[in-house]
Amino acid sequence: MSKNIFLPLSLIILGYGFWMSPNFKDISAGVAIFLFGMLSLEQGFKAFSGGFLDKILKNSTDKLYKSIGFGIVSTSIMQSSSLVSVLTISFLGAGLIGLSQGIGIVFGANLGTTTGAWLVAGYGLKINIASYAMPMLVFGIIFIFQKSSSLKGIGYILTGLGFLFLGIHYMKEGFEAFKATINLSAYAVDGYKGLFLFTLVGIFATVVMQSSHATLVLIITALSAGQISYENALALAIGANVGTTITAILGAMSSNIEGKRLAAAHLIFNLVTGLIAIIFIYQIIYLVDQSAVYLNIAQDDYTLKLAIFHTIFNTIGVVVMIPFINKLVIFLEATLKPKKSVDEIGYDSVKYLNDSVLEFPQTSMGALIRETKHLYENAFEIIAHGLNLRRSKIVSSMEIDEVVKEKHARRYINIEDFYNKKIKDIYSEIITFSTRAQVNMQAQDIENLYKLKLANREIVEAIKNTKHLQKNIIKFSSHPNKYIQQQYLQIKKSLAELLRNINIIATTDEEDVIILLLSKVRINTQKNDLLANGTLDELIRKKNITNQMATSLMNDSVYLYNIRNNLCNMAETLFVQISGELKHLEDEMHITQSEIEDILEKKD
Amino acid sequence: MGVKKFIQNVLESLKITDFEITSKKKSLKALLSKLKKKRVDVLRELKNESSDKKIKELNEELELITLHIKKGKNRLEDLKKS
Repeated sequence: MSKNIFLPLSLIILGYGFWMSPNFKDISAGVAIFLFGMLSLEQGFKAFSGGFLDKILKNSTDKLYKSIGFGIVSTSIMQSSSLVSVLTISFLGAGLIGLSQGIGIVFGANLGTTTGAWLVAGYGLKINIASYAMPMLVFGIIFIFQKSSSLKGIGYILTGLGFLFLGIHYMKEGFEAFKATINLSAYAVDGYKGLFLFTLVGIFATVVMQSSHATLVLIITALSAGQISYENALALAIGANVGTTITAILGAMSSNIEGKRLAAAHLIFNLVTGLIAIIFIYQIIYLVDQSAVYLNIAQDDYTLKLAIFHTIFNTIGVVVMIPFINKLVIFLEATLKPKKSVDEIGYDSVKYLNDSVLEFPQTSMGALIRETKHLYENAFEIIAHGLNLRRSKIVSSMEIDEVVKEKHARRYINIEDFYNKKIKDIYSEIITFSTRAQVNMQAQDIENLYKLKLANREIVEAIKNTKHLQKNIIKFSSHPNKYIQQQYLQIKKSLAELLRNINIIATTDEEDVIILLLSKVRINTQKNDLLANGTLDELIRKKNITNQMATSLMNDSVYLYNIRNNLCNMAETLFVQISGELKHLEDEMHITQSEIEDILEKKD
Repeated sequence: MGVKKFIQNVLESLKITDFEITSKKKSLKALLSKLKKKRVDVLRELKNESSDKKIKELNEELELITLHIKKGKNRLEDLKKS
């Protein structure tokens, strides 16, 4: 309802304003051009997010000071704390960084955004900025028309900067001309009343424009034209800082719980910083005056003093909040709880896939890899319990013979039921998400994505094959015929050993262990093939088993062979080819079929 | 001159064209040294082992390690030549 009224009302007010005052039109056009520039700049930096931006973010957030540093540097370069916040939320959503690292980046972004005020106050108002805008726009458009995504990115960045400069120019011109007709400074409000009032105006303006940067530029240009008082400009800047959290909150709507927690942390941080600034406003103003003297800034250069104020109060906020980061994380984790991924009737859902990561190819890939690992964890549980084996024993150092003897439960689980609850939905979500993510990916990523989809299919196939195998495992594992019983125990043993080896591959960092285990698993798959190794023939020849038993064993031998191959292929893709340290060595060290045959022949 | 060609020229002038090969060689060398160390450990274990089952397992492992060392060495030679 309010949305339906808000838009037409805004248009009417703006239209009336344009009709009444051409200067107001100039200022509004300046804001619009500036915001368009911000959009273009963000678009440009997103073109690079598939490569170095994601990598830098991943590698430079392992320590708090690095996270803060990354926030400062990236926001200073991109001049958009919103883009950095949204990118951070997407990383959090994909599980690539932790909440405390994310908070560090957001703190840094708040400091980085203060460079914007310095640039506009220091250069934007003192030089003819529009003269730089025109060539940037021309070169930018030429680059945008190029095929290469990098050149397109550069083009968007150039046009973005061009529009930013042009927007600042129009705002400046508008306020200068405004001075001759109306003096807005007559509406200045003194004291704490003015402070609260203009803080609210700052919040409102930033929520509407979705950019604290734009609000700040508007404040600085109005201040330089003498249209607002210095004290009111400070209050507006405080409001802009609080209002900017709306972008992160909107970005977190489509993210998972981690993204929502980060948006909440951002809001808390900016609220606390704003409160500190309001409470200690006169002390901070004194500090600004002292700093201005130290930096040789004239006492009446209010625009630069506003930039100093912006930097000081954000720095105070960061310094005050750093000791409480861990407590903030604990508080947010306790108050914002995730919907349980496994609900009361046992249905499991995706953990890492959410729309906020779709725009960033590397992040999407990271989320898909994690989700596939999640799917495998569920598959491990189903296969182990489907064979009535304990997961904890499989991954322990207990002898495999002992693992097979220990039962998980009195009855075997219903694999079909577990498949429907823990695999089906996640699998279909992974496939759907992959198709959507693929749109923004480069050829190499698409190739890896295809491999990942195959790995997911292998997991599902392995479960289906286990389901077929389970019936006879139940029937023959405690059968009076010791020969058939022995064979089915051997099948269980073979799968338990396979699950153990894959668990080691998934958890170790030792390349030699991974290479050797993958080869061992491949060799054992061939060795355990009852049809090929002659075991079945011998059992039939010696009449140790009936014809019916032989048929069952023959079919189940194929299922065993397939499960082993499914899981081995999956492990190779998921833990080596796509995400491991060995991804560029795997092809060189991969054991070939002829090498496996040579080894098996020697044993014979 | 196309963009790709320009980048190629810059990489060549900075002598960073074989970056991928260098990192592959480095990884292979590290892997080979780990495998060689493992072979020594397995040989030592074999000397002290008396259980037939365990000896068989260790021999199988030794065979695999030897195969991978051979593969790694061959690949390293190829990379050095290229």
